[in-house]
Amino acid sequence: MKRLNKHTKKEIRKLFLSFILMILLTALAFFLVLYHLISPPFLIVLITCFALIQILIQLDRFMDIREKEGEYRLTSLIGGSFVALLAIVFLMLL
Amino acid sequence: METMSAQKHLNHKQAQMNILAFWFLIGAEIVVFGCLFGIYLAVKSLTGQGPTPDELFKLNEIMLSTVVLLTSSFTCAIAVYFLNLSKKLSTLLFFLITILLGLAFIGLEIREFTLYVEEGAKISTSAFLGAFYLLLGTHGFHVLFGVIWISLLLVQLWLKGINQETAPKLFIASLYWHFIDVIWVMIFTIVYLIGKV
Repeated sequence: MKRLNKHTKKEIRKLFLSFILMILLTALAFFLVLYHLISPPFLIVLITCFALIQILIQLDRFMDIREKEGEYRLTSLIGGSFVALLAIVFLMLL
Repeated sequence: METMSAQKHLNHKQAQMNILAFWFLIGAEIVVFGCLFGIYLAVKSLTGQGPTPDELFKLNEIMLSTVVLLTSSFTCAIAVYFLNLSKKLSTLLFFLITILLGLAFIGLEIREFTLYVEEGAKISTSAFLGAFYLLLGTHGFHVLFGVIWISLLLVQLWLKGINQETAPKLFIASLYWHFIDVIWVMIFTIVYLIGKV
């Protein structure tokens, strides 16, 4: 750990920044809800957007979704999400 | 040169196949959790005699669990970074921190559920609570499974070092761990935060 070179430090800093961004988004959503700063319908949309941004950070920075041959990974991800979305919509319509 | 050889473990044809297969599993897991979210959203207003989401949840403690799990995801990413550099001890250390944080998360969740049950919010109290415990329990079980899985892989890493056999396995376990974190972000937002709005 002592002799990390410049490149290593830079890469770790990048991961750390992604992590800090996720914590900030979580904290922001948390405080917005805790103190009821915004009216409910808009608040729900806003915190859902925060969650989606966090998920994109995870997928891109931590899970290498854009790696080569990433299109198969994306296919699996989008396919799964599509079926999940159908399930959610129809369960809510019941 | 070591860096190259470690990257090569993950770029190996078989390793790429395994990683892709794991992405298909993640696709299937998204459907599992999607159904559980669907059930939860469909019945969350059916609270019967039991507490409503707003009465039940204590956001401060959930925030702590969230920070613990997000941090574990970060340490897991660092561990994979060292895995790519073929640094065995650093990889081991950061995966160890990851599973310890995972255990802390499970501990917090057990404490949370115990408190709820003491308040009379059992799984059979209302449809909302049934769906809540089902969704959260499934996620919690995934975390527990991840902790056990990574622990076993760490024993293998300790004994065999970073090679063609251990490197792809650890990478795949890291994907699983980040996926669990993604699901938690959804649970935190959809169940806890929106439950409080």
